[in-house]
Amino acid sequence: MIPDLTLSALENGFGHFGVASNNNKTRHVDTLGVNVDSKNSTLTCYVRNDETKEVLEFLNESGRISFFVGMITHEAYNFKGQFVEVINLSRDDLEASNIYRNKIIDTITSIGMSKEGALSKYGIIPDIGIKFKVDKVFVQTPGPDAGKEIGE
Amino acid sequence: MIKEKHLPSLQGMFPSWITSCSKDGEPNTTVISQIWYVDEKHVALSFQFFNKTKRNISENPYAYATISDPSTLKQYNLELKFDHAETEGDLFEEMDMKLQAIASMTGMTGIFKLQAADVYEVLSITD
Repeated sequence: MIPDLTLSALENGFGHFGVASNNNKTRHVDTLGVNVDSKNSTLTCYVRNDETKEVLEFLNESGRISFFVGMITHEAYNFKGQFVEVINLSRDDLEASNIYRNKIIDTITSIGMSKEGALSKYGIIPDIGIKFKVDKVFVQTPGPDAGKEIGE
Repeated sequence: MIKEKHLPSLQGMFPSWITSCSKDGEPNTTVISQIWYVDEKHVALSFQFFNKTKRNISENPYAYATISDPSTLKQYNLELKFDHAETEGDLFEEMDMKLQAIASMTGMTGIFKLQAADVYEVLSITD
């Protein structure tokens, strides 16, 4: 359910994690890395607890998730799925996040944005992971194919 | 509502992102190249393709968006409600011209085509 062609974007792309409430209002939060479990079709998105109060409230209402990952090349994917659980992060998770965040900081500075700005956003360490089971994956690269389901 | 400090974030120097929701409760989060300043209570989004965001907004007019100051990456979150679409006039022409410039710079000429400037009411902005 997690196609191999999406792995590079998951490892290197900017991630945005969106949810909806029971009355169809929405919230989202930037992610600070992701753990991919292809065998069980789950993704665990690393986030800051203090940035996700409303996201978690909405998740507990509907549990539906839209997780966007996009690279600077415009290649992008959208993972739809159902909330599983919130986890505390292991040492491996924190190391994976550290590697990811350093790559993102390099990406941001490579396009001329300030390192201070990049560090203010991606220099911070996540403290929770939101795990969800992926049930659909869509192409989100800009263009006529955007929105096409992979594997359809 | 929209203050001077927000304006650098509305110039398309750094992408913005938006989450909409279908009438059935399915969220959709995506990145957009720019959210445009219209006036202190309104912003605009470009409508290029009949994509999931457009479909969702036709069913449920509420959305949540994040804009970033390009010099500091400080983020602002906007609660939005779709107001109306414009297919001609100054706003449409300005957005179309910028979109074509972006398309040219990113090798996507012919792919980006503005169909409408979708104007949203800004319900709130938070840091």
